[in-house]
Formats: sequence, C-alpha cells, structure tokens
Amino acid sequence: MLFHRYTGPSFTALLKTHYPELIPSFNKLEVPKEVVRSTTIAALCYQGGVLIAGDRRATIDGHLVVSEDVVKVFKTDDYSALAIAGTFGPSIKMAKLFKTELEHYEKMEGIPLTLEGKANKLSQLIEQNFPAAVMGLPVMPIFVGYDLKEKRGKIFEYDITGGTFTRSKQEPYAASGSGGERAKSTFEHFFRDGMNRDEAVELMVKALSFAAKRDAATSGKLFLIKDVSERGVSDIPGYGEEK
Amino acid sequence: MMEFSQFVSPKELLKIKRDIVEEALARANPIVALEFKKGILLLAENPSSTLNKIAEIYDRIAFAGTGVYNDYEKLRRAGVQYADLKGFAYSRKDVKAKALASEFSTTLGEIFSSRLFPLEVEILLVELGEEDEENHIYYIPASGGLIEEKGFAVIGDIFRHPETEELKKNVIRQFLAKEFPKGKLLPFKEALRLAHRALASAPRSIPLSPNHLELAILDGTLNRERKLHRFSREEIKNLLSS
Repeated sequence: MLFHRYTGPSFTALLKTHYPELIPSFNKLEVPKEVVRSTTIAALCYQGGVLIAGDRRATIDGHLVVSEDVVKVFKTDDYSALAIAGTFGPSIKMAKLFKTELEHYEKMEGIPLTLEGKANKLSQLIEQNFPAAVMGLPVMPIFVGYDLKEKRGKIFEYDITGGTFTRSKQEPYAASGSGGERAKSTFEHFFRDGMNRDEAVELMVKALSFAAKRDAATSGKLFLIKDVSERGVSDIPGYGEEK
Repeated sequence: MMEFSQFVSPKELLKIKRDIVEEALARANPIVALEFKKGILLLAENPSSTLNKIAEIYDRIAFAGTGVYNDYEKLRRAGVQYADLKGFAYSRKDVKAKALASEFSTTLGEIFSSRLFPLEVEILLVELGEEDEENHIYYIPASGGLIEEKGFAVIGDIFRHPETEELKKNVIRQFLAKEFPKGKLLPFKEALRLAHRALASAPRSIPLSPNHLELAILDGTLNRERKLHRFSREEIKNLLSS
C-alpha cells in the first residue's frame, strides 16, 4: 500500500517512523581517528543579500589532502543556502536531509517554511547529531537565507548541541572550521556597512585566502561562493562552480 | 417493514461502487492536461484559490486530482512521500512517474475491490520528458486501472445536464479529440486557450468564470531542477484575455 501511518509534513519524522535505516547514525560505533574533514566556511551580508562560501579541500587530520574538489556549500531552496565544516560524511548527509526536509514541507503543506522555521529545523538536525559529535564526528554548519519580508540577508550559526546564534545587523558575518578564526578576524578588520555585492565578494575572497595562508587544512586555490538574494541562489562565477 | 436481500452479486456490487464514484465526479470540477511545445499544462476548474487540485510531486512530475477533496489529497500526500523517499534513498533522476502511477493504480484498485466505499476520485500523473516525445500522461480511475494518454487527458469529465438531469460522460474528451491538432504541439498560449475552450464546452448552468481557474505548467525551459510553475489568478486572466 502506498499510504504511510505518518502523514505529517516532516521528512525526518517520516524516516524515523517508517525508515530508520535511512537516518545517518554513528551512535554505537567507536570512531576511528582517520575520518575525512572539510574546513573553512564563511558567510557575509551585503546591501541586498548574503554570500556563503567555502574552500574545496578535504583532509584527514588536517594534513593529508584527500580531495581538492569537495563541495561544502549547498543551495537548500530558492532563498537559502548552507555551508558545513566538520566531518565530511555526516555533513554531506545532513545537507541532503535538510534540503529534502525543506522541499518536502513545502510540497506537503503547499507553502514554504519561514526563514526562522528553516533555521530551527536545522538546529534540531544538529542536536540529533550530538552523540556523534561527542565521539569525534562534529558537524558545524552556517545557514543563510534571504528574508523576503524584511528584504535582507540573514546568517545563522550553530554549535554542536544545536544552539543557534543569529548574527546581528552590526556584525553580519560568520566563519567556522579550522581556518574560521582567521576568516572572522579578516571580516572584523575590513567589514563596512552598506557594501555592495562586488565589494563583499572581494572581502570574502580575502578572508578565505588569509585562512588558507596559515591553515594547512584550507586550500587557497579554489573557492565556492554562493550569492543569496531577492533573485534567488546563484554561484559567483570565476572561483570554481559547483559541479 | 422494508426487506433487504442478504446477497448482492459481485457484479452488482461493482456497479453500485461505480455509481458512487460517478455521482461524486458529476458534482466535482473537471481538469484538463495538455502537452505543448517544451511543456505540459494542467488547467482545472476550481472555485477555491487555496484548496489546490494541481500539485508538485517531484522535479518533473505533477499531480492532478478531482472528486472528493480528502480522498485525492490523501493520494497526493502519499505521492509526495513516495517521490521524496525515492529521491533521498537513490537519486533525483530515479524518481519516475510510471512507478508512482502504478502504485496509485494498485492502491486504488485494492481499495475499490476490498472496501465498501471506494475513493471517489480520478487522478492524473504527468511527467515532463527531456524531449517532447518523452512526455508521459497517466490517467488513473477510482477502480484502479492505469491508462497512458498522448497529447491530452481529462479527469472529472462527467456532468449532470442542468435541465434533463441526465449524466453525460466524455464531453471534454470528445471536444479535444476533435480540436487537438495531430502531429504537432501548440505553443503555450494557444494550448492554454484550447484547454480553456475545452473546459467551457462542458454542460453547465452558469458560464465558466476566469476567476475559477487553477493553472500550473511543467515548463521545460525553466532553468531549475523543479519544473512546476503555478500561475496566479491575475496572471491567468491576463493570459486568457491577451
């Protein structure tokens, strides 16, 4: 039969009720040290939108390069995007689950979630990963979206327990991962109110390059930068597009 | 006291169930699906602007249902669950209309034969191909058949004549069989006008109002994964008057 007992709008709840095997779970395993991690990600608001970006490197223990071509920045729907640092496997799965969750909700209910609703749902997914995070498989996302009502970009940061930090209008930038501190310092130095998109792209590249200069786990060669604005989500060309 | 006979032959039972469905469909509004160049349109007569009869299932798959609202809504929600589960567990390209149409057909067939009351619906499932020749339109009746249509399809095509009270079937289908051009697809606007004329050809006591139309298209020219585009009432009125 096509019908499920669960008929609500949440895709995660649907998986939990009927297909628990599809939910990523490492809770009962000893975690080996050699897991692949992806590093620096950052987000930055400008006048009329928000940028979200990451480098393209994945490493084991920060010094063995596994790939120079990974994607850590994902479009999650027409007006939001997600970047994830931390353990590579679970973070990719979380991004996919989150994207499906947003789309599923929109189709089931016939109306998309509000930006705050999306940010809150992501917080729940991170919280569910907490046992894995304690065992050494953290997932550290930054979530951005364009608020169509307030006509501005917004940035949400998370800790491994799912705690949500909404970046203020005065300091609308965030960075995470091994090179995150240097990227943040760069923003703190050079951020100006009312930057346009081109200026913001320039600052974003500067922040990622500074991070890559000192952090071996971050690549300075290729970046992926996404722009989220009233026009939707698009790649900033010239820094390596998503495949 | 009235006497009930204990035995109803299976044949009679089927007829009773068919009549139940036909009665419900005669009270409900019709929906037309029509292929055009680089797309498929779905046009429904629908007085409500919030209770949709046309909906997105997946990137290239759309759903239309008419009859009793909670019945087709239940099927739509199950369809979205099916598609999203498949896309999540495998890949987006693995979600196909044929498999889902077959699930709908099986489910409706089982309910029709095993329960006293059938689901009072008719369902369309349409899939936009990479090329026009690869489009698929599946029609699923309440009794659980599965029919693939080409070019156009109609559901809810049963009407009670306003004066004679007689049930008339396949009115819109016959109109389109005559008017739908063979061998080539129309551009979008012309296809929409044809679909509109087809809906208007049904017997009715009051004329078809442009305020009572719901329109969505699977648009092959859209530069995004999800190809379903819904038009507002205002846009529909402008399209039909220009």
